[in-house]
Amino acid sequence: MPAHSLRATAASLAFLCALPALAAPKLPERAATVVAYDISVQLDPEKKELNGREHIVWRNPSTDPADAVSDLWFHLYWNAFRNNRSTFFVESGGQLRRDKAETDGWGWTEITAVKLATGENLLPSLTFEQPDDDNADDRTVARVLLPTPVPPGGEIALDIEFQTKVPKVFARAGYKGDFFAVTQWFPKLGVYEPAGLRGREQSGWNCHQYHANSEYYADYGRFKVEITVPKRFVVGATGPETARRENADGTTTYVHQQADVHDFAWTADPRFLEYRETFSADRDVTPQEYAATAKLLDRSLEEVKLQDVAIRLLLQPGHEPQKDRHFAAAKLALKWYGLWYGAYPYETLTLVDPTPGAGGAAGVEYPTLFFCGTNYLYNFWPGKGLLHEAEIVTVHEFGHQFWYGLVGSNEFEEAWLDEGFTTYSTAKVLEIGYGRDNSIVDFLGLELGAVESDRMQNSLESRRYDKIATSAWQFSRNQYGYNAYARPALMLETLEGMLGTETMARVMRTYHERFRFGHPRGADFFAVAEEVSGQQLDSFFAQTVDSPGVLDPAILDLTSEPAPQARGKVMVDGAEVEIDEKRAAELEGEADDSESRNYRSILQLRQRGEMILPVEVELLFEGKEPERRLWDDGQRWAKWEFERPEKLLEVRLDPDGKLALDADRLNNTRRIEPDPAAARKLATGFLFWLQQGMALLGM
Amino acid sequence: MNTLTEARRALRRTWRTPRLVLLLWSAHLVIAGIAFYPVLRHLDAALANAPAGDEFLRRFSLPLLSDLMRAGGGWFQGLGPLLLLVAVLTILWNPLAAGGALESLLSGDPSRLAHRFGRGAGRFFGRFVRMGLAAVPAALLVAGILAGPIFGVRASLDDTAEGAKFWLGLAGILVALFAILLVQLALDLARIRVARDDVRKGVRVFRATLRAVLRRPWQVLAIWLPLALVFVAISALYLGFRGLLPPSGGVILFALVLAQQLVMIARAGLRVALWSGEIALADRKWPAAPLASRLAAGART
Repeated sequence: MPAHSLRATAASLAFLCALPALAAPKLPERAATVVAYDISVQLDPEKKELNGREHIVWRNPSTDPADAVSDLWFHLYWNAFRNNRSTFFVESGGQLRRDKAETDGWGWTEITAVKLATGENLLPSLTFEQPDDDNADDRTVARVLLPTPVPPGGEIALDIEFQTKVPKVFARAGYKGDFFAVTQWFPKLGVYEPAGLRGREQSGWNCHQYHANSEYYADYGRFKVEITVPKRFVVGATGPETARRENADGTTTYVHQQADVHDFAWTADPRFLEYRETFSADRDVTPQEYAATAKLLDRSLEEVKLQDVAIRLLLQPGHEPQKDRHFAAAKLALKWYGLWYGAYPYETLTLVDPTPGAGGAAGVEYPTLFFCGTNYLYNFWPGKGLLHEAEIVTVHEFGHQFWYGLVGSNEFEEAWLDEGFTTYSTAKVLEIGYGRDNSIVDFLGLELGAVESDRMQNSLESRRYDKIATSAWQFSRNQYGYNAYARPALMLETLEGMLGTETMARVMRTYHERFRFGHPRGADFFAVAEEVSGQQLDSFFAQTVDSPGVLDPAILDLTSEPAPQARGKVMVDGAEVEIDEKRAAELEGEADDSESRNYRSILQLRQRGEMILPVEVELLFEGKEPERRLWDDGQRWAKWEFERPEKLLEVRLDPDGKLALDADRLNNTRRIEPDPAAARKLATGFLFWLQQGMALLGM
Repeated sequence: MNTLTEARRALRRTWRTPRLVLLLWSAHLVIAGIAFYPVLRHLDAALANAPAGDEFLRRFSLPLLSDLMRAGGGWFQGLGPLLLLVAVLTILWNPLAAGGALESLLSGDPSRLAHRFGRGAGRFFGRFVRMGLAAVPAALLVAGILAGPIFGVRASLDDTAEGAKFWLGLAGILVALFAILLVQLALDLARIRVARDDVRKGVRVFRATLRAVLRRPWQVLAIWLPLALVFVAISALYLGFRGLLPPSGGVILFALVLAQQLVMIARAGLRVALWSGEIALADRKWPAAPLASRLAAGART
């Protein structure tokens, strides 16, 4: 080969080698593995017990040379069901998510051995910790002391043996008959947060007790889990099944492995009907959809390209007619979450339909596996029916693969970062799939969209006292759900209204790219939003996330009358003249006759809630196109006066409905001339149905 | 006699008593007006100057209704007692209406409708109220006897028998409603017998009639069912018509209200038709006793 060719080849190679750096994908492909679990567990379905052992290798993620770690903190979630003195039970009163704990359904986790790889027994050092509430009866967090601190970047390996009693299904986990939702079931390490991570000032373990309203937070790692169950059971689990062994004792061992996840869940039920389909990145997404998304996000086609996913549906007998609904909803979610935020990176996705009566396990998310929520009734309401309940739960729980799974926010401290983001994203997917106005309810003219459904929870009185940025267990009564789900979703909708659809899409994409396999906090999202939008948003987030209160811009009053003639001593053509009442009336009459008299219009606006956000105001003058102005002086009220030849007929605040957080949209509009049509239609409809009811009373 | 012929005859008889139908309809309209008028006033005040409310012309918006109720605050809480008052008045009106209507339908008296209606309403009110009160526990008892075992079987099933539980639950509800319907039809028949024969012991007549109805329910159901189907057809027509209307006020709204009230007039007409059919059945099944026998049984002249 000639020398110049070698040089050219070398140059080409150098260029090609440089390409990945130049066009480096913004989405990280792998998580930085902090922990690896190798677990073996056996289910005794008669005794409702698990016997397990786990080999854990943990790496100290700190880079500070002085940051050696001398203890390990574990979650023992099922001790929440140990007795009615646990923090979980005290907080929930044994009732959660429309589910009630049964008094004979206790469950627990016992650690029977903790040894280092060297054989050193750490069990004597095990203590139960209560970092949140000092409840000595709570055993959901355990700590063991290490004989030798783990240096930064160093690793430690230990073996744990544990026995668990599976609780009767309640609050995300448990059994119902032969159905097992085995979630949060093994001794799981908390997150060691080096100083700086999530704004932390000092390094330390982040390992909260299990609270009624809190979910989870853990580090990314690798899982290899061997699950042994009697042969009759069908098993679903996180990650792909990599091996299966038939044992001589009539049991089967399933081996599942998954990397880059922070949890591992599994389920078993002999009644499961198993269905499989594939989400095809080529067939299920059109080239136009790829191109439109790339343009929307300002990313290359390569960056928005999705990958195939094997979907497995474990359905309860009797729910067969809903098979296609679940697959369709899962594919819809895989497509749009993937396009908007980044491709779903795992090979498998398992949808689990809990057995009837196990509602406590329904609608719960785990990496690559989630529990749906449906029932027999939905067999008769296909996709375009009364309620899209089956689809809503599937799309929502899938959303957690992104907001919780791939972006590992701390659900204890900032539940809104996963629930709120998922609720916001779910509404967007549902709107595409089922329509903006009727994605939740669509029956005999009765319609309800997802965002409107969130808005309906936004009542003025009960929403003034809590802020979104509150730890899950520290909300006042009945405020967790609204502040973790609907309100942050409305906040994001409002932000989208202010920034525009395109900018918001890029904010969400960038946030996901930057914190995929990471542990962000709210402030990280705020920073990304400001960076991508180029706008100062600190006041917005301070009011909507970090403060309690509601948003309710309102029109207080609107008048538009012929402008009165000046009276008394007034300047006319440079000279001061006196105009008495009679002359003023004459001048007004002349102006009326010549149609030259102006109208004086007075508009009074008020911020009825605590929040003050910029509000677009649309003014409709007689015979003119609507005019728009921005009310952004930051004041709690405003009085605008106009003296123009045209009468001001109508005013609308937020005419495009961008302020989704607005607690009351009825007070956003006002017109001068009343039009009773809507009131009369509503009232006569009321009369008609009242008469029907009365007729029913008398047959 | 053929079921359809029976229904046609009942409807023809109703067609000949338009003033009675209009009286029943208008009475309900007046009672409903107790709640309707304040609602109309309130909605007018809340929506007439709020263009956002025009959404109601296009569709029944739940979020807007939620805003409306929130803005109304305590006003909508006050609607509850008002609706309760309407319900109580309706329940009190029912025996009056039944007495008046039956007297009008049964009496050969050529006097004016108002006279006959008022006479019947006043004469039978007390008896019909007592019969109505007796019908409530009877309805619960019959519904319990018929639907109770179904709910019992349902309760004994495991949650995994989800389909069976669903269908049994639905069947139980339908059977309970069917039982209530039978008791109501028996009450109608009993009231007809009391009004026709002017019997004082109304509750006793009701019990005997209920036993007869439960033994041969299809006889009275054959009258009710065709009329119920007519009502279903009218409702479907109304819904279709409503769906065709554009979202607008003025004439369109007037047409909608007219259609609604025509449905209600038709419903009142079907009620009268039901009574007419039941009178014919009562005459066949329990022919009127000679006057002397009735006097012996304690009837008033």
